[in-house]
Amino acid sequence: MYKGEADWSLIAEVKNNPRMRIPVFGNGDIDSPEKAVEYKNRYGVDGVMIGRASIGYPWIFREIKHYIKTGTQLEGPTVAERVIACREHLLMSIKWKGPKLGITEMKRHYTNYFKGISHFKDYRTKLVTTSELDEVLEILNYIEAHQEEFILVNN
Amino acid sequence: MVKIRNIELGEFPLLLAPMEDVSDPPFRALCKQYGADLMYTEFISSEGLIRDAAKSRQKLDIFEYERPIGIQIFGSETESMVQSAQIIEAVNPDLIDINYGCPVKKVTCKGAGAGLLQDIPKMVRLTAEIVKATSLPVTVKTRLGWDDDTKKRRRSSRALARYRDRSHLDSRSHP
Repeated sequence: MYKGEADWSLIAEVKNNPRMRIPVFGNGDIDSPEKAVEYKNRYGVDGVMIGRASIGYPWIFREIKHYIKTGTQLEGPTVAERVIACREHLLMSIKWKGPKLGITEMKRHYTNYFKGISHFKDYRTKLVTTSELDEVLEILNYIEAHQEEFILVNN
Repeated sequence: MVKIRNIELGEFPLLLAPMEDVSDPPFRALCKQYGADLMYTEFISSEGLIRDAAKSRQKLDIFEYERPIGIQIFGSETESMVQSAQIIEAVNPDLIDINYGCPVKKVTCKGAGAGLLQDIPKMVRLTAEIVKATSLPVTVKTRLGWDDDTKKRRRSSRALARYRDRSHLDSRSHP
């Protein structure tokens, strides 16, 4: 759907036009706290909009805030924290959309919630193939209870 | 302090983008919990909304804990967009956002989303009509241009600056 790198220099030009009196927020390609701060400083936008980088990784917001405030990286979520957020997301989806749609539409999020965990493929396959809430919860509970078996290789 | 009308957003706000099939209430709840300062609903079809289509109506569901929250609409017909803005105002979000950025063909071929970038005067008129029709702050999400040529001229952003309370610019041109 999207092609090429976002061109923020043009956003900066719009923002820095003396006749521009409204806030301008930049959107495109921000996927890390470092990039958010780099773009903030380099392009002078009033704020940034996060899209794809937040899918399955809502922690990006607090990580950017922490980085702006302290200049240091906030530790990423543990495997257990990922499970907790994912389960909360699942249960809210069911509550809002009903069990069938809630479980189905949650499938697109699992890969992202558990990205960077080595040897996770079998669990992911199970998560996206079952349509039974009990089974999904059982897998999530297992991962949470055995988080030492899962190694986070990157964020 | 960055402000949209009287909505205070902090020193350097982080916004959650309106993403189709993603930015629904469950996902937004997580993003809010982890620090999103301003969130948007998925985009809602103005044509669907004025016909009371269930799929469109459902996307109007917003919750107190989500504030400040914006509802995003897309469309190309002034009358439908104005009526939609009034329907949206009735559910009391903090702001209305107009989609001038969606690059998907089924949207742009009807002259909606990024399709409006091909007719800047119409984009400006449409924005002005919506601003006039609602008491809510209006923001737009747009791109720098339809293609590399229009992008260089940056007319879309300049022309709109007079009308909106805020813009967010997507830095890509329409692919």
